[in-house]
Amino acid sequence: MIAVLFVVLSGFWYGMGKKSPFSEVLGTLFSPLYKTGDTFGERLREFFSNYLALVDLKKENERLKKELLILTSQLNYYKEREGLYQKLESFFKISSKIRYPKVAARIIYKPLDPYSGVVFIDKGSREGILPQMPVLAEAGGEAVALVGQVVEVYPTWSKVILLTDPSFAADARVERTGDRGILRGKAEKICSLEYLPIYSRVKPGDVVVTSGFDELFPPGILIGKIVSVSRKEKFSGVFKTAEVEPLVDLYKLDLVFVLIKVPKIPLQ
Amino acid sequence: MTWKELFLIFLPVSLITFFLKAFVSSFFLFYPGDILFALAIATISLVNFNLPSILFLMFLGLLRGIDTIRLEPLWMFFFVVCLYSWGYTKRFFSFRETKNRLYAWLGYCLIYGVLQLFIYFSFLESSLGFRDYFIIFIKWAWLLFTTYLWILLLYKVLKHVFQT
Repeated sequence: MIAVLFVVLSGFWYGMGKKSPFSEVLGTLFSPLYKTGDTFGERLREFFSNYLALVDLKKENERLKKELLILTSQLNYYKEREGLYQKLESFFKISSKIRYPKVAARIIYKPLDPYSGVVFIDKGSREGILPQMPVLAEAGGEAVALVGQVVEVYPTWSKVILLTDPSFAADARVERTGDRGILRGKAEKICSLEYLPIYSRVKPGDVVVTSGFDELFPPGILIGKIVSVSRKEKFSGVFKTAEVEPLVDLYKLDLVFVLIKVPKIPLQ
Repeated sequence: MTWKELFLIFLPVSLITFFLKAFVSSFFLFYPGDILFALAIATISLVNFNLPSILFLMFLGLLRGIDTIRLEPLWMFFFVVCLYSWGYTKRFFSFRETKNRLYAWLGYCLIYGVLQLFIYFSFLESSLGFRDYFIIFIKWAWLLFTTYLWILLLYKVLKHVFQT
């Protein structure tokens, strides 16, 4: 009876609202569950799809990072080359008065020995370098100055003694007064300019250049500036001695130029 | 020193040391002390006077002499003399005791320092003043101090490698 009554009532219900009471009851009861399940499923799907996308993204990110690294290193390389070309251009521009051919060389080893001043350069006899050839470098982007002399040459590299080496000597001249002296290294940052005439009026700040009389260095190449002048007892007061600070910072040398000037007095 | 030790321990260590020397001086722009001489002293403290050790010390002397102008034979000879004299003086002093070894190393450093000064003054033609002598002394003290520290370090390293 009850079942028949229920069926009849539900028929009326359906006729009035066009809705199934079973569905409505079940829907009302289970809708939170559907909603939760649906949301959970959707979230889970999103999560996995995002995860998969992230995996791809991570791979892409790593690839881009590698590319960036390669590009950065390439950029650094090109920047370094650009700097080198600028230095070369600047050097050749400011050294146009020096008529000898020049070979650019990089310093490959600086021992920084406290009692000598030797550096190694990456050019040797294959580039036509010979012992005794002068070595120059750029001084502050405005001039070129003497930094040393080639002493030992091998096919692909050479040894250069700097101005500060105790065995270095050059005939030098004070530009302002014209007084000549012998420039010698003593394994310090400054060199000595010896045998200046006693009547010489040299003073701190005067520029010292090569005289060219020693047949090793062309005349007029900048060397440094006088920082002090004294009269040494050793020479019985006959000569004056000056301290000369090289124009080029010899500790920070990286690019030098060897003048292809064949020595007139060859080494024995 | 055996040939095997020469090729497996000493030569690789010497090449690493040479690289370290070049790197430190170029990177920090100051003289790090004579690492190759320190390696020579650390080596002679551990090995006997025989053909492989003589050859190794000559090789080290050659590496040391590269920095100089035509002084390679002098440094090779000096290093071999150090090797021989260590073996000779071992008869009279017990170098197994740390204290004796430290004094001996100091002695070798002083002899090395005197040789450096001798080479410097034999090349020098410039006259020096008081300030110059003072700077030379400071540099000399620095050279000996840093070289002594390198001896201590390299002896530790070599001894460890030797024992393992």
